[in-house]
Amino acid sequence: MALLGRGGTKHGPLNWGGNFDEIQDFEHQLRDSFDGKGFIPDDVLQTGTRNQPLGEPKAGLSPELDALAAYVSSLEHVNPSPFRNPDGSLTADAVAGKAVFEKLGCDFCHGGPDFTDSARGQLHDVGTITANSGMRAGQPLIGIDSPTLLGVWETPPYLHDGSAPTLRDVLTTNNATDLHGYVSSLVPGQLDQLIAYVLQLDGDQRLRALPFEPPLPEPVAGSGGQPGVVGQAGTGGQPATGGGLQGAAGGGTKEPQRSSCACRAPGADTRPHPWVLLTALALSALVALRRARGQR
Amino acid sequence: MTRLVGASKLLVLSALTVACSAPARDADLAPDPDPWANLPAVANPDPELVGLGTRGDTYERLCQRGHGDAIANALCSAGQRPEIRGMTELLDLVGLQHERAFALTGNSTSLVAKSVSALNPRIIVFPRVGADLQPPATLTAVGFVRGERFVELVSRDTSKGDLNFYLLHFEQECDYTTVGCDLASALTEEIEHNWTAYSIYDQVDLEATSFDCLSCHRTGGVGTPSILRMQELSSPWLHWFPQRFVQVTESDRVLGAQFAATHQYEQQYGGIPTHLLTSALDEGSAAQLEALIRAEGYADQPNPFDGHIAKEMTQGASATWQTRFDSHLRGQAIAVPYPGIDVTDELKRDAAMRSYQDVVRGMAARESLLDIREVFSADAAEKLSFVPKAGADGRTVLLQMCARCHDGRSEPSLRKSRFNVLQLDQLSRAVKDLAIARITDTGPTRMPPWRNGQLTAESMQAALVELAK
Repeated sequence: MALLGRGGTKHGPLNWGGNFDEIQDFEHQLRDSFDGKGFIPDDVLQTGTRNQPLGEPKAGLSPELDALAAYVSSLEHVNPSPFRNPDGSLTADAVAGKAVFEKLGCDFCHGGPDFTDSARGQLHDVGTITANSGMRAGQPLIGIDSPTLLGVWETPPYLHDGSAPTLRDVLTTNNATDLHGYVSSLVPGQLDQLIAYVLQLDGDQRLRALPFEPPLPEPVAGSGGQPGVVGQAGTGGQPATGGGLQGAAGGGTKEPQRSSCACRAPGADTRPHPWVLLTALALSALVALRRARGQR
Repeated sequence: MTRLVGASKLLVLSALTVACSAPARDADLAPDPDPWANLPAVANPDPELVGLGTRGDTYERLCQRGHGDAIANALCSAGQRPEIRGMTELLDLVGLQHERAFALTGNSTSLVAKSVSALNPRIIVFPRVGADLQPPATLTAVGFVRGERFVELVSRDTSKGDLNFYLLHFEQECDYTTVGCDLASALTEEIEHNWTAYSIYDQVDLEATSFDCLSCHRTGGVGTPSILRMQELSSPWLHWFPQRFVQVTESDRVLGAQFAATHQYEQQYGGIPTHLLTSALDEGSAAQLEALIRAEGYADQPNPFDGHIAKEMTQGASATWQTRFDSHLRGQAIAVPYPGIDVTDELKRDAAMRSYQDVVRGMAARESLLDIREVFSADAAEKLSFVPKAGADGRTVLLQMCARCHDGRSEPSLRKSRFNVLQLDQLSRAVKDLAIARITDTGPTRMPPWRNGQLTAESMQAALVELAK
């Protein structure tokens, strides 16, 4: 489970059972699961309902714990998916996969701008809960908090128990009864398209969803703006194209090879469309006019 | 050229036709004779509804009330009573043929609970809501189960913000025969077609009857807003099907299969083509209905049937369900849905299903049809409160069987409000005697209403002893 992109509690409750409502609740994990002493003094923690994860707030009880929470909360960035087209747009397969995603109702749990319904406090059993899954707040665990799908391309293995090495496993071998989407109704090509789409979900959904948006600037190696991505550029070696994803249609369990956001298809025309230029010109004129009026 | 000549002739002919028909227009302006005026009276009318008026009287009354919802608008805005010849036409009229979804339930705690199983499910048709859970522009939903000669409707009143509930009672030719409609006409697709007339009642009309919408939909009592109810709001939607959208559930496999087998030879159910019902993905599912309920702000359901119950039932029993059922036994809530998936007795179900298929296919006489509503297991009948809990004392019997309508939440001026089972000890002798009379009545208005349940001889005796105190 990666912390990147979660922004702490930005998506909703924490932990797979959704039973933490602040980062400081990990005090319980530090003490109970990791045999640590925690940050909050024992007598302070035992006051009121602070010793319960969903009890009174723990923020402000320990400077170190608050600093840790502030750091975790700052992790809002999601790395761009290298599976996208070089210009940052969705591949043709991913566009088709988006329709499959919606047709199956995946967006009912992995929906909204954050691709999760975690903030609604709903838990879902997608067939991964077993007798050993533990309890939630003293009650049987009936569901798991939906994780965001943003940036999921770089966070295998999947599912709360890490039992699925790839997204294909999530949807097939770990989804025998279709509790995690009616995937058995899909023809092989559709499954590939669905996987292609999910692999391309990253931090720029809204921006890139606009068809008239000019291409994003290319990331510069070593700029530090998108750590990790450039470094991975050399490891993929294959351009992310629809054809490349189709190549996985044979039912193989490997995810498609990553490409880098930094590469561009040779000869690709990156000039803005004349319509875009005209719109930009009109907008600039409007802004200039308003400024001039404002100065008056 | 020949075509041009042909076209000219056509134009001349059209002009002549218009000219010739013109004199008749004055006659057209005269009010049409009411097509309902010459219909015979219904041979066996519902004793409660007939007292509220029928046909045109109910229509005029409703339209005069000026409700601000889509159903009232569809019925009244044209200034002429719309014809509704069947379920499909009704869905058309209220705008539920496009951008709509549907869900069927094989177990209900509603007014029609005793009719509902996967063989004869209750269908809800409603506007589609997206994953963003934005409320639909118009909230109108329809509930229907075969065997009942009415359709339940609800719509959001945009002028007052609250919900308006309606009951549309329809007639068919068989209603005018002395023997009335037979089982086949009530339970097969026949009931969805060839309606000859209808009566329309709103929640105000129905409040004093056993059809009272508000006894379940206004849980806070008089003066509080109404709610949409879906006790099994969340996954795994144990009694809902089809359910393949978001995730495929066990209910889809078990109940969906029973429904498909029973109705495979029919064209439609509840106005929706059967092939759509059996193959639906995003068009029909409980997940879609959940989305609507949440979008409309009714996520907090009274006496809910949540995921804990299904999870606990995998171990054979559910403490959560028992807690909810106990709350119902104390008269604090309506029944909670059955804790298992299937409410039917296997032997009864198989026999009913075979009989139904044979009659629908014409391989058996319609008179031989078994009642596919009579398929409940003894366990389900008790846990759904169709019969009182075995061995219960009189007070418990009265609470279990009467509190749904007689719990002090209804309009105080109504006669039924005088009998409040939550305050048995404060009831006057006269009120208790009236209750005894209604319980021992052998006519169609005996209590509890047959749609809600039936007292066993033992439980009736216990109730009478309690009321005699």
